Amino acid sequence: MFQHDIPAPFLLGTLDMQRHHAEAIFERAERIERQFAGLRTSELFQELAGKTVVNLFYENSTRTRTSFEIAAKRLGAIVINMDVATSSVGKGETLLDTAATLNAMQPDFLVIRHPFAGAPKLLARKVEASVINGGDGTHEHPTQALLDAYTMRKHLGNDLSNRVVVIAGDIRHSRVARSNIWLLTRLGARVRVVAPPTLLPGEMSQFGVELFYDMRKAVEGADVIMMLRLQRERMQGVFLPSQSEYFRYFGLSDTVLERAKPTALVMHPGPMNRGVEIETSVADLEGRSVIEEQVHMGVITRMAIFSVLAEQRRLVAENRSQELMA
Amino acid sequence: MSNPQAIDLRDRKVGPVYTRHVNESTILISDARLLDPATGRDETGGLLIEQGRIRDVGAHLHRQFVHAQTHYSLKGLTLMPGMVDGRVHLGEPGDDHRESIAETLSLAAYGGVTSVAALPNTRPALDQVPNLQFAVRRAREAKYSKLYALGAATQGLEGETLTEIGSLTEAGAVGLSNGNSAITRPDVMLRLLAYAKAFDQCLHHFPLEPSLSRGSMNKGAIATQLGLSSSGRVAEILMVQRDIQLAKEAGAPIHLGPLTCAGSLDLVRRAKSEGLPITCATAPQYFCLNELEIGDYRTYAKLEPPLRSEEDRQAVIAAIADGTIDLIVSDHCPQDVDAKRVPFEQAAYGMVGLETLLPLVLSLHHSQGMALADILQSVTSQPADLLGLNAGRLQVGNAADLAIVDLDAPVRLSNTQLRGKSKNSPLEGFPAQGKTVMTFVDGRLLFDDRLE
Repeated sequence: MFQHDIPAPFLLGTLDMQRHHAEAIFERAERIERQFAGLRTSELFQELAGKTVVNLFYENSTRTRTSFEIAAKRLGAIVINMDVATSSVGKGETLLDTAATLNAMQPDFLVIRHPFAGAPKLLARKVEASVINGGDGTHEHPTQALLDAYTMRKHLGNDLSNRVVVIAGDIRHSRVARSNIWLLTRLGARVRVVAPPTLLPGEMSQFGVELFYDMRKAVEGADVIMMLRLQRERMQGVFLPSQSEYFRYFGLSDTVLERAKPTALVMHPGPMNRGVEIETSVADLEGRSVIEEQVHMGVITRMAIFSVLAEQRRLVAENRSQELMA
Repeated sequence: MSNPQAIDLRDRKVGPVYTRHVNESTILISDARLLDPATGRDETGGLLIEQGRIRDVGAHLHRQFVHAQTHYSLKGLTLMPGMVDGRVHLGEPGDDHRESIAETLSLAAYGGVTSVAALPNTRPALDQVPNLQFAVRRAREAKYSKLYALGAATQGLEGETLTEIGSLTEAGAVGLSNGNSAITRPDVMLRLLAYAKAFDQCLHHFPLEPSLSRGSMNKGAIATQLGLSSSGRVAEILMVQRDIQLAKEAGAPIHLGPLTCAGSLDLVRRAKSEGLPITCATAPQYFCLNELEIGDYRTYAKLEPPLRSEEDRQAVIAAIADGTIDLIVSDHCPQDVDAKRVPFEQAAYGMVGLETLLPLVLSLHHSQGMALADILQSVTSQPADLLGLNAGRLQVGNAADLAIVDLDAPVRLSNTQLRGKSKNSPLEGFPAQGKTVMTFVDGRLLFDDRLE
């Protein structure tokens, strides 16, 4: 996760992420999970002691921001949440001016969520901190994809080769779908995407996934069914005629789930619209729904991401000091 | 069906008149390669300027035989008519921080462009006589290249109500335009095309259906990968199709552009073969670059219409070669740094192009093997004819608006070498051949690269 025009190690997306980088994060997550078992405090984890993490959220997201915050705090970091709505950012300061200001304060990690694609990369070029993409527009949400894959590994085994993963919902506008597609295909999984044509760009087939309009055909023999949240504004006749018609053809109900493998996992990045994309009985199905577990694994995976990036930062710093002495 | 004659406004037109800053001395330019795209003249010879006008041109003009107060011997260089740029966005009035009219016209002079057709999408728009006169007056005061204004076709460019087209014509409007906002209502468009016939005005329409073109880039795999909003070629094809039908219905000419894709160019090709008075333009960015230029969210490559696919780029080149495309315009659109140094979705559209028009147009000759005279017509005589200007030709009696160029000089385009204060060009590092060496307007030497 290095690039010549970006000063520090980063996590911006899964498109360019190599398999061994993902594996390194999974292994770190496993180690953290082992050490974490049975402990209620974070005292053993001081990997980020003295480091500063800034959460820069241009979109409201209590879930993701809290997950990053807990992950960083459990590793001993100081966490600052930039409340963008009341800061100078809301007064018209540009992203790059904010970047310059933050850079001057020398944080070690910047977690950014932004409504527009490419904003994290723009920021990463201008700061010394390691930038972690917490979701940018309709582009990428790499930490979600990593935690999803990590959750799958726990249930399906470390090798996801040829596992059938169905991603259903608003594919066109979903950064979760994009990041998952690129990561899962790299890990060898067979990814199917299913959505109404208005929410499914045909070009998606170039990413090595199978496209479906028919939910029941798509879930045939699936190992994982990942439902995406449907934004309310998309339901009102612009992309879709109605909420009930959407559920009828693209929602996940008991009868649809029956067509998947009997062990198939049900996933959702949250927050769910019960009765819109997923039936309550399916969302809460014991032994099949891993939706809550995803939230837990979110913290573990983000701890692993901070930990791996911190290690890379140390290596970069050592190399630099050696260069200086030479 | 033949139309009645247009209202004769020749005795009522007041501007723009560019006669106040004429260089009164006689000037001889000799030993140059004379290139007049309109007539195909291509020979070594000279050109004599008297009272700011072309007095004589030809192989017989040599220093030994002609007495002139000033003499330039330009061996190895090419003398051609100054270019006429059919589509330029102004920063003034309203956005002088992007570029003032004087700056725009000085950049034109640096680029070998001696006449500029300015779009009316300023703030306020050039939809009333005083606004139009303001722009023309500023241009006259600047004493650089000449500005000719396209009058706004609808009030406030809102596409609803016609402007006073007759009065705008008298004030010097050389055409009508609605800037970068297409006129979406077919009924307004039809009435506009019909009414403009009375004043012999041609509508220069920007054919991009707004409801289908709100995206930041061209629709396709790259947009999907970058997670950017996108709009497809259909926005352009649909509007070109509609415009051709409406122009046919109104029995009026229409000029469309910039066009960027195979589908719309095919429609124009067919309309022309049916004898309809349709003309169209493209801009160099659409035959030099494609959507890959956006790379990692490079906002300088965010254009309207967007950069298209490689197949479309090839289709644009083919349409220039077969004469479907009449004009090559710069579509010069200065944007300040703050409008471009933001996330791609938020960035403003447009690129500067006046200074790079010549080398990019010449790339069609150097890289595609097109004949010099053919491609240079699209930046000289053809835009001049469309705008009704006595320009774009080495013709005795015309104003001495001339470009002296080195057709073969290798150049690597560089944004730091751009002279304007807005440097938003996606062509950084583009290898090309050809540069402007001197520019004359009304016989005045505005720019001499040999002295810089």
